[in-house]
Amino acid sequence: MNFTISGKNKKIKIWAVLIWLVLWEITARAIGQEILLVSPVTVIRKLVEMAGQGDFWLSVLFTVCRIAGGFLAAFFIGVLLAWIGSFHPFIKELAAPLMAVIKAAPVASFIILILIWVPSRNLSFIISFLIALPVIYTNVLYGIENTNQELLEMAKVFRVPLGKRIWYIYLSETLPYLRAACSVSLGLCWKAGVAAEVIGIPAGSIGEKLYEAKIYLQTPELFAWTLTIILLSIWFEKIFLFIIDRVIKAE
Amino acid sequence: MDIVIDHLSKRFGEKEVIKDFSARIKEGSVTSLMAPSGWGKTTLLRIIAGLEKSDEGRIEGLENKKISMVFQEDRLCGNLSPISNIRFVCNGKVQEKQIYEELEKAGLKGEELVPARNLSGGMKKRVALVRALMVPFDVLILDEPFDGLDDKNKRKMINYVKEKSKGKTVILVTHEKKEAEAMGGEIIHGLYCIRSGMEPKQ
Repeated sequence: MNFTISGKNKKIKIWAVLIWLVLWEITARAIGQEILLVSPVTVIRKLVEMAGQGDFWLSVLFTVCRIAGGFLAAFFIGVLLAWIGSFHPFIKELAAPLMAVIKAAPVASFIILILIWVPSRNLSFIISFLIALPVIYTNVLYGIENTNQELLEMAKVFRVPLGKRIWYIYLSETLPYLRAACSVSLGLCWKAGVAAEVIGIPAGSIGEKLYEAKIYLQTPELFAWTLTIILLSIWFEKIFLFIIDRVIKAE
Repeated sequence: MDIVIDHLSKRFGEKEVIKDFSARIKEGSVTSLMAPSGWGKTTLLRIIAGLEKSDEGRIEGLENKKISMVFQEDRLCGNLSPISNIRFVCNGKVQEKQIYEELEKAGLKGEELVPARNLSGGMKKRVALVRALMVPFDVLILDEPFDGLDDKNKRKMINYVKEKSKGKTVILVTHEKKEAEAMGGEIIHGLYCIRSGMEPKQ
């Protein structure tokens, strides 16, 4: 079987997925205790059951809005900051230690600190923002700084307006870096964002549902929510990268 | 108005690239500069084009003049077609039909919509030449513009440049005497004056 799930570089073969699913099913049946390991069939059944409840979709909406919102805020602020930083060394130097600290500090430390300052319902927004910001900022800054100087000189000689220079030279050089940054940070946003919700337990979030599943040892719910998060993360990444790819093509 | 280069000097770190160079380039003339590699020809052109600042001296007569240039490298946007590359610098002042006609004159018929990165070196050079000649200009700077072209295309492009730059100031840098002669006008050999006190190697 030669079907694939993902893009050029990260090809996942359907047959490999099927083998792992079969192994999972066999192991779950061998153990025979749902509390320790649920079978993939049970997980799908549970997910379908949960999807029929309004509460499920409200939780999904709650978390998607915050994590996607945090990511989008990081996207726009990161790009803007990188753009300013590429022309003003002062801004670049000022931002450097801040980005380094955000990158290096453990997410848990941020979560605890932020919980002191803001209500838990906004926690995943801020964590998602903090996770994506340094990745997007660093990549975009690198892309802008490595923009082809020869083309910029050419544009200067021919008196090409700034808007055109940005669209045809800066964007075309920077978009691949931005795309890579989004691809990496989107996955991280979901992981860290949901982890933050599990710690902060904001009412009505996916994190709260995961926490409840842990407390009441509801392993099928835990797996079903995990699958939901994975699917949301993949879809969001695909939609966002599709938009960026369209912009790259439009050039 | 003539372009007057007055006691121009330029150094990069310890290396003195141009030393006390003076020259007068008559308006509407063709001036070819010939000298071995590394003698500051490109630096001089870059200063004239406003891409580099001289350490000493000044250039007069470029005020309010539109400059067009062919660089040593093609400097095309690789993801854009020849048509788009030309439109990119023309700012909507040229009709697409006109670009097609000019590209055809340069022997690029059928290549108009191919991304520049997929063109051969010679084709890219010709696109760069057409681009420089389609932009409104008063001064045309040509830095080894015919390098990489075979004899047939070289002849064709020299005639094309001569036709399109008639009456305009043209400054050509080349190491091929034939090209300089074919372009006509004044030839500054060896660039004695670029490095005063130094004799040319040839």
